[in-house]
Amino acid sequence: MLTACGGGGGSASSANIESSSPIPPTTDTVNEIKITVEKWSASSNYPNQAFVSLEICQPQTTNCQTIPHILVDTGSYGLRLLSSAISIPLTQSQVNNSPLAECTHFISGYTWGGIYSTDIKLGTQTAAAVPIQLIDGNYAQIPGSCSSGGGAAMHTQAALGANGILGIGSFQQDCPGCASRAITAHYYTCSILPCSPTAVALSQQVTNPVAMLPTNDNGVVISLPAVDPNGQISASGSLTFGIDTNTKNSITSETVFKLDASGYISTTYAGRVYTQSFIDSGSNGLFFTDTSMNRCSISVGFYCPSAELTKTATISSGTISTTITFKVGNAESISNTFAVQPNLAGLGTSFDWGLPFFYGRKVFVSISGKSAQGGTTPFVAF
Amino acid sequence: MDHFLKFITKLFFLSLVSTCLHAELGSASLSLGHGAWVKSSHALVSAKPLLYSVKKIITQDDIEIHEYITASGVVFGIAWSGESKPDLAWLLGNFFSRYQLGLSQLPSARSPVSVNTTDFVLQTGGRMNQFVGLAFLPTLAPQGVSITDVQ
Repeated sequence: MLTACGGGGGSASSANIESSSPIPPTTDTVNEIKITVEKWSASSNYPNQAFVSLEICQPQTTNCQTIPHILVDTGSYGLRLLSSAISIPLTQSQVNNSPLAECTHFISGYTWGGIYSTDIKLGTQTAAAVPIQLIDGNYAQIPGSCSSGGGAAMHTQAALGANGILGIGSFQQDCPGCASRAITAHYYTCSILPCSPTAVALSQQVTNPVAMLPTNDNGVVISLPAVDPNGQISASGSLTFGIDTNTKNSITSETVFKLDASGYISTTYAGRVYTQSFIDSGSNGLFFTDTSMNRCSISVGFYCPSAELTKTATISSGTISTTITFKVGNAESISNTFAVQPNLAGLGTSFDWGLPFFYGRKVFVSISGKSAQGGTTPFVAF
Repeated sequence: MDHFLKFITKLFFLSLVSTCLHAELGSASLSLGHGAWVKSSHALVSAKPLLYSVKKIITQDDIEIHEYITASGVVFGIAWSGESKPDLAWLLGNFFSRYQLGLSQLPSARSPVSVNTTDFVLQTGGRMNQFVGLAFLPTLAPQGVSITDVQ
């Protein structure tokens, strides 16, 4: 007798399955890679950096190279690698027969470089001909509109903190608005100097590589172990590709929080609602505003309470909410040898749940436009 | 005639230059000095109308800026939000170097920038395609107004 999908009748499973959730297939074809949270001397020993290694290949060849120490970042979209770390030949993309480049902005800095096409091996699967950025401060000429007020250039291992950034957040492309117009300080063509701003079709924009997998393309699951509350030298976990496709990446007891159109959830902290809140594995602490908390004088931007504080905040989306308890430690008394610093927190205007949020949790991040949990609206679940 | 024309031309270019260097924070509203950068501007309702007015500006890059302005027309607070980062050299004017100092003191890569001094406070936040921030001048703000008023 066939068991009907949905409902729970006749199943031996103890999970309470909602009618809208698909039952995972019985064959367990998990596709996951290892995440290591460790300090890396070449990247200035920043704490709370979750690294993976990725293999990239010249498209349609077996000419491949493995790049280590790539940051796992659910706060950005697309793969960006230091050009200096790449030794295989890749072909630069063109728009109107002119080489394509990009100025990518991050919160306190930017990366400049050309757009190239590469195959990316994500675990056992390959994303083919993915547009990526090769970060190179010496490429063509950095436009004034890119560097002016853009913050710090991140063109070296020390400045970037990694060999590259794997942006596997909630959207497929990194500049949807750029498809219809040339937005200043985003994409440029560089056949003549100075490079000039250009619109770029979605298919040519730097793209979230997970979205370009043949299957398991609807999101990721980041799983990091519980850690010593006082910190520890390193930790390792997993990055699993796909959501609800096998027993390892299925949402069971976790709560689903749909993101708004801009990719935000809401966080209520100390009586104030932050409507532009997000969960970001690429942030190395929890960043929020608390004027009562003592600020560090040496590690400027981080909090240094005299004694460890226990705080709560409520994450919500629509009618769904949950209260999170977290600790804030003194950023300047945490051992410098610890890559894992669960109580690291600092100032920020939006409530940013950085890597400390991931310790001891399984966090699902789905991709907008891909089908998961009965819809294509992006969500996070934990 | 020649001298007169030269003089007028000099005045013209001087005024152009001073417009470009015209600071917003700590000075008059952005919308008055940077016409080319501003796409639209209009007043918002102030939570404390006796103390300050609020102006909303949309830039050519669709960044939304809220200016907090004293009764005498001085901008003491700015909040911004957009898919792009604003050119802070324009926005912060004379305080841009203070931002650059804050940038040089970042404890780790890709952290928000934060400056906390008695006369200038800056905080940034956000991530790719959603950048936010605010700047506040405590010594120029009206009494009874704090950084939490700037949104």
